[in-house]
Amino acid sequence: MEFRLSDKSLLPALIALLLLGSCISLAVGAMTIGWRDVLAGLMQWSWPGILDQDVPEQYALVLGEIRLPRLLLGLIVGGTLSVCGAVMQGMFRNPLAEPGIIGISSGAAVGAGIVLVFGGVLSVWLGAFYEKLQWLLLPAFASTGAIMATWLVYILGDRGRSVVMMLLAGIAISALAGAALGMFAYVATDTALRDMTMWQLGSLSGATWTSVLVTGFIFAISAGLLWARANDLNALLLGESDARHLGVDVIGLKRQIIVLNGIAVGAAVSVSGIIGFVGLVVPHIVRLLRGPDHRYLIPYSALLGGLLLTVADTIARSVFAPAEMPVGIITALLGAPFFLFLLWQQRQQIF
Amino acid sequence: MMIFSITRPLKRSFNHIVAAAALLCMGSVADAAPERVISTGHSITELVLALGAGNSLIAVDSSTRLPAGFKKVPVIGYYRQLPVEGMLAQNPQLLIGGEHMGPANTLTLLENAGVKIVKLPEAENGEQLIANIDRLSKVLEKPAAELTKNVVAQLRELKRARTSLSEAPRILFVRAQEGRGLKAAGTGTSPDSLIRMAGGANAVDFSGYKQLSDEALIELRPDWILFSSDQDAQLQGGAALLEWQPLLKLTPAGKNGAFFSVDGFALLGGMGLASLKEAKKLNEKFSGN
Repeated sequence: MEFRLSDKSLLPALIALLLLGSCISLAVGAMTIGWRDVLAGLMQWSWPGILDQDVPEQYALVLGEIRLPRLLLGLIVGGTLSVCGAVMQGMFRNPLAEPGIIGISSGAAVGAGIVLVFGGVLSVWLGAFYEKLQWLLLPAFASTGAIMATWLVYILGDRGRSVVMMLLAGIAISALAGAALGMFAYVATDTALRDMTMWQLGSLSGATWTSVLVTGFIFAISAGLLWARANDLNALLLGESDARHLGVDVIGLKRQIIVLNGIAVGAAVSVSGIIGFVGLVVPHIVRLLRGPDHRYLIPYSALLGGLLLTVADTIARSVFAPAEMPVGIITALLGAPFFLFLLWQQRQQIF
Repeated sequence: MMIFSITRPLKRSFNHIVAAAALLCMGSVADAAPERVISTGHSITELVLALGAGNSLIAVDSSTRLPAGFKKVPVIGYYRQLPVEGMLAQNPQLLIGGEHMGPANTLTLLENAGVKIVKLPEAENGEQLIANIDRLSKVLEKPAAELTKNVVAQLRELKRARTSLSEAPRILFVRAQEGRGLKAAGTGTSPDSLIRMAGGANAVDFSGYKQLSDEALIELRPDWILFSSDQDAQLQGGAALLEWQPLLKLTPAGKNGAFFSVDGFALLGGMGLASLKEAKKLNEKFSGN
């Protein structure tokens, strides 16, 4: 039973859904704003005075400084996690691979833990300088942790030659990171402990224009570079020696994937915390709908990942309004049943 | 942008009203007492209510327990993870909270929207509590004399009661989980402040909450064992603790059945009015022993 869709139906459908999801995300929130005012508020915010009417200042602020950056951050983070997941699964030829499994997320979590738990010590060390650097410390440490974990996995995996070694090293590093986090939790004050838990739950509420620009820039470059290697990734699906015979620089490809993934996931995780499941589920859904060709898998994953995270975030911040819940819970609730349904429908085809 | 909207001629009466309302919310609160206040943190909300500003309270955080019969107000979530839009939707003039209120990004956006933000340090002793009351009374423009007098009297009474104890009893504050042993509160925690205020001595001297080894329990010889009221039902007033941790029967507290459930809200966000009351209750228990 073939259940594949062609580009003709899939691409317009995805883009339409993405636009619809974005509009809903902009229109829904704790503050009730009619759709006319949403448009007016956005126009007023982007170009004050463009309209001949007065829009309440609050609307322009909520739309331009809160909802819009949050929507964009959701699209970017969802896209980043999904593309990284798709490429990881391709590289490891393992359907369970995702940024979490080779230790990238854990590395980032350790980096963040250092800042959250030992921030007090750091502040003594750096003195007044700390106040100025505070906003940068968490993202910087999380990214550094992610890149270091990836680098370690890469070195242990014989510089990317052995996929099995890399997977095993990733699991070992995740365990090590878990131990480090447990150690931090043990010595942490209870306030630092709560900060750490909150951070690990993952949320898009930290969206600012700076974070959108930084993650967006990194996402565009890394996803573009990975997409450019789509044909090589396809060859890699045949097996490493086959790919080598087809003229693919396998080791160079793996190096590139690992470095780009480390940077992109580090950047995404440092602004949003750990949002699980998107990187695992989205590429699978796209493979089931469109097939495993990386030329399509990568862009479709970016679109679908952005859509899933945006919808999840809209639900997360409006169901319990005025309070919010962590978006990671919603991504799992939305993604998992759909994934199971697709798996069930395709069971003969996969195994 | 704000100045822009003031100088712009207002064309329609509807817009006029909305803009005027928006300006009112964003304007300085120096000339009039704030009428729309969000308070986060139980001990701080307690002070707001004690100062008589309950009418202007429009939303609280999830750690706050309002007195029974108080009007229903929206709960805006956890005080470390405050949602910007959820708060702006309440149209607040003033946000009051502890030093751990955040995240910073949320507070910056709120400030940009013209909401005044007041962060109070967590009070560790009586002087800091009185300083917080002073600061709040200025911000809320409510007289503090009566409340301050009351607090000072309670503090004096506690001090007298502390000195009248012949010797400081050894106190252990625990959090228990069946099959997972006991965690005790060390220095720098709210239970520790409470114990000292009531005239007891914390039986442990490490900092923060740490797991206790079984044998250490006997070595610590606690005279009283305290736990938070949210665990009261689960621990059956302390009986369950003896069951889970039979070694406790060998301690003075276990022998005398000296367990006490402390109001959990008196342990949140530093010292507050509830903490003073709990300290008094604890002290009475100690001296009755």
